[in-house]
Amino acid sequence: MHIRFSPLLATGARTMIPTLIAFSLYLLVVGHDAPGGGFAGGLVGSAALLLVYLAYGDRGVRRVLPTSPEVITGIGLGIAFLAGALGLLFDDVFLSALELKTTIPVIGDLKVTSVLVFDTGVYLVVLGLIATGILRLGGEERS
Amino acid sequence: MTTVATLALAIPLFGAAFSLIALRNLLAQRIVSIAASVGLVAVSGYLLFAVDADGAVAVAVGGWEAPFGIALVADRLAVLLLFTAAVALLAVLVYAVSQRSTDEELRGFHSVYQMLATGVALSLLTGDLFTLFVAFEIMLTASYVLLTYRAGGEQTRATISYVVIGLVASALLLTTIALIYAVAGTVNIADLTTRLDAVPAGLRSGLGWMLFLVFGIKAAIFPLFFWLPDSYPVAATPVTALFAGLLTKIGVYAIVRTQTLLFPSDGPVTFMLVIAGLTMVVGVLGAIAQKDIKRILSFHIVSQIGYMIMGLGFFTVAGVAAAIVFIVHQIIVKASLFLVGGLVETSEGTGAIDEVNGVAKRSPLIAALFLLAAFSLAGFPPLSGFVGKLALVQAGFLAERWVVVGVSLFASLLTLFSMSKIWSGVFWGEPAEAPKERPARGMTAATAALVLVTLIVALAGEPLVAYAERAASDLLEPGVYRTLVIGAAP
Repeated sequence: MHIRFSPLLATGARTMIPTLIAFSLYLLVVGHDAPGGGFAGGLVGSAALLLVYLAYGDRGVRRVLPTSPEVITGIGLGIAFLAGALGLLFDDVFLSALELKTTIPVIGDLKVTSVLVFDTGVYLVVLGLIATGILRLGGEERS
Repeated sequence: MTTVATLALAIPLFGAAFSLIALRNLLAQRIVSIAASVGLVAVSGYLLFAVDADGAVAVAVGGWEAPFGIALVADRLAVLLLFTAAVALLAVLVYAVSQRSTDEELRGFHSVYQMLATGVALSLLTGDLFTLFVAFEIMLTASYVLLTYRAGGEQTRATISYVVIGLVASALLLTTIALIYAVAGTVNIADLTTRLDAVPAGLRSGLGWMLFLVFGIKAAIFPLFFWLPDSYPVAATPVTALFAGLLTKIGVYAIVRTQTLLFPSDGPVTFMLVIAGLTMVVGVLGAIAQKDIKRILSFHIVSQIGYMIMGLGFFTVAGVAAAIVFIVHQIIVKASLFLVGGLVETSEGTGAIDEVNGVAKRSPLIAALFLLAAFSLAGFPPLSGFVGKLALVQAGFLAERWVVVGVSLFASLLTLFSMSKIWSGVFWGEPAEAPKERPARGMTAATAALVLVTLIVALAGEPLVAYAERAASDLLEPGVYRTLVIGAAP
């Protein structure tokens, strides 16, 4: 069955999707000290993915994802695990938060924590899970 | 040693993540999954001896100290069960990989399997109630996936009740934990041991029974067991064996952990003993009425849970120790019996005892494995069931609770009867037709290894009982657990 997607939605999505992705990454980065974080960021990122699905169908979702959604979930879990293991390696405690503070000229103070690594993992897990849901429930043969 | 305790969680988690990344490469998944399971056996085996020698360890995850952060507590009870569970997980995994179809049919089997292992390890090691809830969720969600994988009509119907019951129980558990937090202001188990003292006695025992009820659903005690014999038999053999060996026992573990530490009693709790007796008898009567190996065994899961609750109900060191020994024995024996049932199903094409005959003549090895495991379940000396039941009966005599001890012996007789029903139905007589398919060597080897472990449990009966007694006195001695996790009481 051939479904025609609305050109109106497709055009709107072209401006909305980058905005949503940028906002989701913003939430991911500020999540350590401000509202946000990997889970919230991942959900907003998934909203972008849903918009892709609505505007371009599951083929569109497959095209924007670099690999299968299950593998994204796995990579996310692996990254989160790695963040925990970093704590075990440098601080003797699993999942302990490591901090690195530096001052970069012009830009200012920069604080990097292993929490960001963990949050990135969570972000990918959420994204991967929702992408799996979209593709499994959204009908694979729809074109 | 805190690092090693964390590894018990990190290893299966890593296994889950990696086998998901390698979703297209079955060989890589198998290697990682088996390596993770071997690693878990090694780590928990080390902990088993290290904790006994040097004392229990508490880990503050992420460096956030208890009672504010999440505590992992590896005490004797936790590591003993962790080791037993790890052995069962490994054997069932080898069986699943050898069975030609399991992980090829079930895409992503290994990552779900390792996730379930993570949930089991976290349930055993966690030191606070909320993390216990999370661990149960990890474990149950993985079990929903494993159970619904082969979604035919019958399977879907059977798993719906399992999933609904699981969700209802989880919601109740969360509610109970919220209530406990509301009255005590903490969910850290060690902190609760003293904070609950300030709570009025009636309120406290109400919360205690609510937790007993919730974990009772998970552990399938009378009258909350009806979902179990309905849903377990429909899954693939390795899945059923794993559920039978582990899931309900984790429920019992949670009951033992919370009732002894948080809601201690001075003497035997009659209500618990009544429930225990009913669970034993009703479960075994249900088993006698069944005509399929896996269904019979599923009812026996229920029946055997009663013995563990009985040991706990005495509320003596001997009683709780006997319950712990019995959990160890059950994890191994139940998993191995289901694996044997799977071997019969593979070679005969069905597990209905009316349709299969003469397995003993055709495959004496399978018959021998069944006989050992079944006698162990019934409690024949010198097998592992005997060690557990003897300890229970002795504890019962010490507590002077004759009735429930008598009921437990009666239930043992009925257990033997229903095992002999499988034996005469399936193993005796002349083989009717040609075997459908010879079970792969790895399947038989994994089953044999697990049956061998039951013999080792029996041989190591004396040190095991001594270990369990030390574990039980840690639980019943007020303050031991608290001092370990938080420091001495003020």
